[in-house]
Amino acid sequence: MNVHKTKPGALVLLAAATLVVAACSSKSRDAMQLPPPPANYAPTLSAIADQTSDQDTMVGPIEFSVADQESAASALTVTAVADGASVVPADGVTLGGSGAMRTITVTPLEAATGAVMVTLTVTDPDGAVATRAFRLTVNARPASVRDTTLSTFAKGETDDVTVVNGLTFTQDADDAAIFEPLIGTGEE
Amino acid sequence: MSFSKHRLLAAAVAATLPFAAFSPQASASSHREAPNITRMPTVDSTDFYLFNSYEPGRDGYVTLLANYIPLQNPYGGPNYFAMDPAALYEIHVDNDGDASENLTFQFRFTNRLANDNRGIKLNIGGPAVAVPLKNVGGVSAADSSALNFRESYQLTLVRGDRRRGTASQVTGAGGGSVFGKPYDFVGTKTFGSIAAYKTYANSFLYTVNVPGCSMPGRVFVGQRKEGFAVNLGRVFDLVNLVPVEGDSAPGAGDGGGFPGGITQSAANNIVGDSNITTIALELHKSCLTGTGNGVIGGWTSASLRQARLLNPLPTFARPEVDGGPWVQVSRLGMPLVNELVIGLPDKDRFSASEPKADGQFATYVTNPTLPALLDVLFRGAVNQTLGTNIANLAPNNLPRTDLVTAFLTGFPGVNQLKTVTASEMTRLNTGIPAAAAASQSNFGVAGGDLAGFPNGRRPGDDTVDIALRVVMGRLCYPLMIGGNSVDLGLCTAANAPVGNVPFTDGAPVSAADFDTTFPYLTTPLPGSGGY
Repeated sequence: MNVHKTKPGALVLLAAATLVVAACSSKSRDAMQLPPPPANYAPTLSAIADQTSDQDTMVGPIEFSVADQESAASALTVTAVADGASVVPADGVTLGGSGAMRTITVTPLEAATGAVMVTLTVTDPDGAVATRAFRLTVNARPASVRDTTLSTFAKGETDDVTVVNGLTFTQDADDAAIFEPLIGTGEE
Repeated sequence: MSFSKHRLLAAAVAATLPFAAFSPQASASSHREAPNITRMPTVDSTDFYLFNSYEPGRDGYVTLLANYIPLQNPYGGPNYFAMDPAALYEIHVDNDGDASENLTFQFRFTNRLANDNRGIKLNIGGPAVAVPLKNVGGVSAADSSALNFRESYQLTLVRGDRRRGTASQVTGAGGGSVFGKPYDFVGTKTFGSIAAYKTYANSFLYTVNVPGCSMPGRVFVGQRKEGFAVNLGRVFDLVNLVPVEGDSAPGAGDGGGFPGGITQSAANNIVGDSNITTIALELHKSCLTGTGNGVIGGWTSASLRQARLLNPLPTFARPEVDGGPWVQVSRLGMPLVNELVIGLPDKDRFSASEPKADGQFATYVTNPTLPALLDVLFRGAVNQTLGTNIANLAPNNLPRTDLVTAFLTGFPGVNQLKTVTASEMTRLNTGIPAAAAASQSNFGVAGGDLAGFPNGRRPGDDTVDIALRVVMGRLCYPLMIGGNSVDLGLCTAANAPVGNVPFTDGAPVSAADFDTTFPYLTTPLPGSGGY
């Protein structure tokens, strides 16, 4: 563009350029304008993968991280809750750790099986929150009354005991004949 | 801390205890203290005593008493109270402080009917018919032929781990390894008199040779009169009494103590009309102390085989079939711990646990609930009676290091083992001379008697009053020991607003209630015929 050859033309061009520039400036301002900075950014917490465990087995401690733009990690409050009290009671969820690294431990009810969603919530000092959830599935460990009993009888007095917790016993021992070799005739 | 200082400490403790004993204590030391053991009374340990023998002429010996089968009504015929032949009864000793047993004395019982387990039979119009009773005539030390039922036992010493250690048989003076247990005191018609029963029972007191011990010991197993004293019913009825000494001094009868407080009376000892079964062992201390510092820790336990098959066609000899490893179902070291300290959800686990795993129960000691319960029950009444405004009767020095010292570690210089491992057991310094019965204080160390509880435990030690006072903070106050005021430094008076109150359940006990000879616990109450 030659804006210096003729003054009238230059004036025209200048006016046009001014308009263009003005228009461009206006358009640029609209395209680049950021929203007003938020008063407080929400904290974050890392994801926890879905978990699977056997019955009567404590899950965890599982580590996860928390962070916040405005606050120290130590100032963040973490809470957690499971949505199925028949599998995980309210006091079956415990939190630990400190600062940016926190832990969660889940202890299902004795002999309970099933699935629950465990939701973690982190709250910063200004009240902003973030949540994450993971699914915990507690599976039964079936065991045979007959086999467990017979194997226990076969142990010696000083052998290690048979662990009972963590097993769901099947009702396969209602046939008294199974134990006849142990009972004998009752005479001695 | 020097030994002398600890002597002061111990004395102070003792002095403290005398005042304080908030006695809601009560339950019998460990009678039916956990849900599961109530289903198995024959293996329910009730009390454990460990003390330097005070029978004249037995200096240097240590007595260990383990009581089982609680709250026996003396008239509980016709079967009375036999030990369980399917069980393993044990007394454990830790002599180096690692909370694991170095020595275990194992007792296993056998029951037999007369006539090769067919029982005594009478000719009833031709056929020989078995009688329904355990005796069919008089019984004495000289003639027990009328007994239809006899118990015997064998005693094994295991050195090292109780299940994997080295076992050896304890034998009698004649070399035999089977010892008899006297028949329970069914009454004076069967045995002639109380004195005759005493003679009969004493015939089952054996001198024994313990492998590895240069000095012979003594053993006795049999029924005895309950030695534990406690206001049992009222204590568990939300402490249905004012548990503070109502006289100016125990037994003064002047009503000059706490207004409305309970006063000492044998009638308050509601369990005093019952019997128990005692496993009694006396050994020279050189057999027990090992390589430690002379302090030993002791406890008793009972175990059953893990597998039990009920016999649908039972006989006397085979009511069931038992097999598999031993599983511990009862445990007792210090009195009242499982009864009043361990929370209900964990009592059965405590019964099945060993001292080396006691870390899992630490919170029950460091943050006890009993003082809080007593606060709820009595704060209002105390403030109203005394015109005070005490905000909380419970000590606030949490965690309660004073209780850890009293119940889990022992007092340094007094009854602390060579290595200190926090664990629940009764700890005895075998180097502190025994006090003769006449000179014992039933408040033990707190009464200025270093030979008593918590330095071991003797039958005459009033552990209920002592333990309750300690729980309510008596150790936060200086103790008077030998005329000196000793501050244990575990907590302060400001921590325990009622720590110097003489709590008591009003059920007295002292050495005068017992024999002065092994096994110390007295002849049982008869099923009939008076005492």
